[in-house]
Amino acid sequence: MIRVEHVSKWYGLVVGINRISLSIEPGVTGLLGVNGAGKSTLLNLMAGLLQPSTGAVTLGDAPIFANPVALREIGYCPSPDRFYEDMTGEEFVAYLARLSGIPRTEALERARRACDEVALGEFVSKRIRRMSKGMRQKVKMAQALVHDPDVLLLDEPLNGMDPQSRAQTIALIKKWGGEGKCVVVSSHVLHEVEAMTSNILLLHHGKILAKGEVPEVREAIQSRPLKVFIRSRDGREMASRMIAWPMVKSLAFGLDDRTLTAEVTDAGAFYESLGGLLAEEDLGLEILNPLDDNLAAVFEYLVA
Amino acid sequence: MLTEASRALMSRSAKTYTLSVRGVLFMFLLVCPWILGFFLHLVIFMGAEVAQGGATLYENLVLWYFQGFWLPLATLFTGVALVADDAEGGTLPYLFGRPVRRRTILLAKFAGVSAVLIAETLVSLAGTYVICWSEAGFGQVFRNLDALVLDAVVLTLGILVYGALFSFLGVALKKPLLWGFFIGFGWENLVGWLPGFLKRFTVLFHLHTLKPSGNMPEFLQQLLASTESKLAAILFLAGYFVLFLFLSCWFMGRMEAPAQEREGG
Repeated sequence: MIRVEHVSKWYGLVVGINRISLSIEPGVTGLLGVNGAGKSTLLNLMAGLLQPSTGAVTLGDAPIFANPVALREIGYCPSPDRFYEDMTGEEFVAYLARLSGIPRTEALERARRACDEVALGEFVSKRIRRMSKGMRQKVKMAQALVHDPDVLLLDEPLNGMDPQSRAQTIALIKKWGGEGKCVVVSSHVLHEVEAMTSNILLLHHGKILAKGEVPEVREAIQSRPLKVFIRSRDGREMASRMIAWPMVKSLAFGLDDRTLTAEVTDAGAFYESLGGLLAEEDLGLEILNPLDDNLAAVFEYLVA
Repeated sequence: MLTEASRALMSRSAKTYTLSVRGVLFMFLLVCPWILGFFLHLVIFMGAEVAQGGATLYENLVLWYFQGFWLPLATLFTGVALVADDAEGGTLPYLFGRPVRRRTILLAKFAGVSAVLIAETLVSLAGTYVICWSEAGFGQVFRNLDALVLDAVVLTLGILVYGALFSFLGVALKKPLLWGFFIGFGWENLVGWLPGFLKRFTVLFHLHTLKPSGNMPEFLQQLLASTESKLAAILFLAGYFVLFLFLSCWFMGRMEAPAQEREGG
């Protein structure tokens, strides 16, 4: 739905985003990167708050920057902890709903519903200046979804939340994605993103380093070996057979001779060969576990 | 027909200004002419001889205090703050991220704050008028109401035109307060009094044209002597108002509002 085409964004001489092209489809997309990678800049571009230095950011075919038609479909939860502190949570959300063109009475009703959805509870009528960081985060989320947009851009939404709220919010984000909304969630905390989605967009120094499903991304990195943990009844025999395979870069035994860790350069070929071996001979395979087929490993490989 | 967003923005900006420290201080400044008027009453009551009475005090307060000081000061701080408060407070992304035209945001905020400023100023002016003119008996108060109406119109125009000018500075320049002080208290009060054509590029001159002060020393009246008609003054003021609001909207439409604590992220 959102298309980013050949977009760069410069702040003077500093490059925030460097020739990025991508499209965001329905479902949850995790936007990952270290601080300064360009996550917030990309979200600001998609939220119509920044104008690209080159290229175009569009929703459908319409440019997003300062375009009310496109902005009607976008809900943005910014990362900075800034509010109209004198308002209550409900007033804040209702005020921003009115700015989306929703009549006053309906805006109040929708604000209550949005606050309920993010589990703001009785804090809804508390002044924002008296709210905890976690509650303030929820108010930001509520204002993003109060006008029922198709696109939700959430910049570090779990910041400052307690574990229970985090779990609730993660479930909510997954639910929105499941309902067909385009949800983009930025974070530098890997396990949080991993809990929400396996579809990631990895940014580094303003460029896309990788995008797609985590295992696919991992697969695509042929230059980096994948570690696979294996436990079998006869580890030594298994190792002696594997060492001859060209995709196996190294083998290391664990504490006993039943466990070993293989470093493989081509996961697909490795699993195929292993399947063939086990069909030929019963080596008593008990555990086969790719150790770094997760986001943390992908992130570490790509950014390191 | 006002949109829901316009109504929300207008009422919010009016309320925020009224309840702000700035708004309270400005209200105090608007009470100052009343204090001076009461002081004059007190001096006369105590039997002191005063060379010039309440009518002169009123004329001078309108010319020097309301037009020369209050108008540029109040409109400078409120005009510049229309967008700057949200920009500095980090809340601008909430406004710019909504499906509402940028120019609607600016114009609605401008209308909300201007309405409060005009109401406050007119109440202060009316109070000043009554307090000052009643010095010569209450009969005088009702005999000169046309002067009050004219002053009210001039001050209202002043608030709108100065407001538009300073709103423009607020969205277009990096240090709008500094430039605003230079223009509001330097250029306006200096060039507005000088002979020549240049004074037409001030707001003050056209306000003076609409309501010449009759109680000033002769040399000051000569300095302010207008060579333009009242119609020309109204056209100039209307032109400045439209021009500055148009430019403000134009800059607002191009303004970026990244939601970032600092660079990067």
